[in-house]
Amino acid sequence: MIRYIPILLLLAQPLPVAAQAVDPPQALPDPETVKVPDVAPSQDPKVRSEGYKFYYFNNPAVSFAEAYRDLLECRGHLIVAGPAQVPGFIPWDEAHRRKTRQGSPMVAGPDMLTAMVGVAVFSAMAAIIMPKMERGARSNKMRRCMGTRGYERYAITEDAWNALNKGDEQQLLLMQAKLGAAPKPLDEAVTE
Amino acid sequence: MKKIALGLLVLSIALATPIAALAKDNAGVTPLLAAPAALRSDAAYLLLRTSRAKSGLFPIQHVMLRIPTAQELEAYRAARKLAYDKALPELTKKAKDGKVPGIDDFEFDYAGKANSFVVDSGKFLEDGEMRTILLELPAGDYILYGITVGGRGLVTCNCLGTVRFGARAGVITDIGSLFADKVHKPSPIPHLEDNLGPSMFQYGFVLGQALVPPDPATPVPAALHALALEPARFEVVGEYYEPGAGGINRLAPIPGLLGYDHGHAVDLRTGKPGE
Repeated sequence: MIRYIPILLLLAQPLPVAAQAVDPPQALPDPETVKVPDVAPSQDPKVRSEGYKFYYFNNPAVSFAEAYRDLLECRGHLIVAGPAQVPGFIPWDEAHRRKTRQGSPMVAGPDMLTAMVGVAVFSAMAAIIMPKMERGARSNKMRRCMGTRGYERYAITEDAWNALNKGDEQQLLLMQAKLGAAPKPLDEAVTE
Repeated sequence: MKKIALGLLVLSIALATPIAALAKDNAGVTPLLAAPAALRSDAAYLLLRTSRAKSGLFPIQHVMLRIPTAQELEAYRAARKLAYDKALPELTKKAKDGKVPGIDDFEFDYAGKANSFVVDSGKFLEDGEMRTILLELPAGDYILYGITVGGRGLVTCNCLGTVRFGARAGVITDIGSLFADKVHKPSPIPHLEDNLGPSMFQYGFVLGQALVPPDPATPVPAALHALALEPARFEVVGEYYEPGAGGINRLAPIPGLLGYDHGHAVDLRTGKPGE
């Protein structure tokens, strides 16, 4: 049984919708031209209570370009592959060391496909659980990566979160970078 | 209901876990349950003490990676190319938007020799609050790569910063004491960066690891006193990407050795960023 838990946890990563890596642009646009959703502090109790799920990052000490780079590097960790088997061979080489990992949505290997068949046995259940697990796993990675770079989180509506996290990766980066480098919000940071 | 659902999901995945995936070698690592009379000249040895935290019934254990040799990487790449070329017609056929995945994105079941392993805290030289472990393994450079729950898989990588060290043949390399636990809330295990946020435990784990390098006061089992033993020399490793890990974290800062500047690992002895 011991061996199954890590496998479950690893499968909790995004299956079909991993972040798509993007090449750093030659020059960033003027942040004034980047449109962002409304992230004005809300007094709606639901927004407050779900702040641990729906939030954006902000660090008033960084520039737009620095925020962009931080997000680019951190979102590189959202690219997933099949679970790392340990013991197993991990090709520690330049692909592991790149600062902005290149890649594309997961290509499932034989092990993963077999496991996915298992998931399909309870597909209805998985359809409910997996999106939440996926969001949670992605959130944990981003929280840890951006948090260690001095960013705090601020609660927003689910709609605003969707606008900032679903869609063209380059546009998401630009929107999040603009908010990431904005002046400190007049709101309490999410701490839970 | 959620727990039942998760349990069933675990079961479904367990039933689908390929047997072949569970039969791999242990990266050439053998835990020694008694001190050897002499050290082999063709093997390296690691001495460490480890904390004993669990998650439920399952021990929280350290994952190490031996940096593969150029030859091992070459063999891996050749095998991957072979598998990729074989799969390419099917990948091309399945490419919905015409974008055929490149070889760097291609996952395959590599049958080559393992270079990552779990430090089994149940196989020790001496028991105690901290367990003393002696491993016989191939000489090489090792990375404190991450943490797992149970005995397989990589639950959390130290992708945001860690350390590496060399292990020479014919010598016991003392790497000091390792600590690991869940860190979403305060942990009774010392030295960890913990209390990261209780909501991180929802739908996932966040594990943390810490290292206290050896010093002259670090206890060494008496049975090892007559054997060649040296403290590890650590180097700082900067951010890396491990797409096969469930979560990411970093090795906790180590006074005088490992620090972080705006989240980036720094060698505190030189002020230089980790490589």
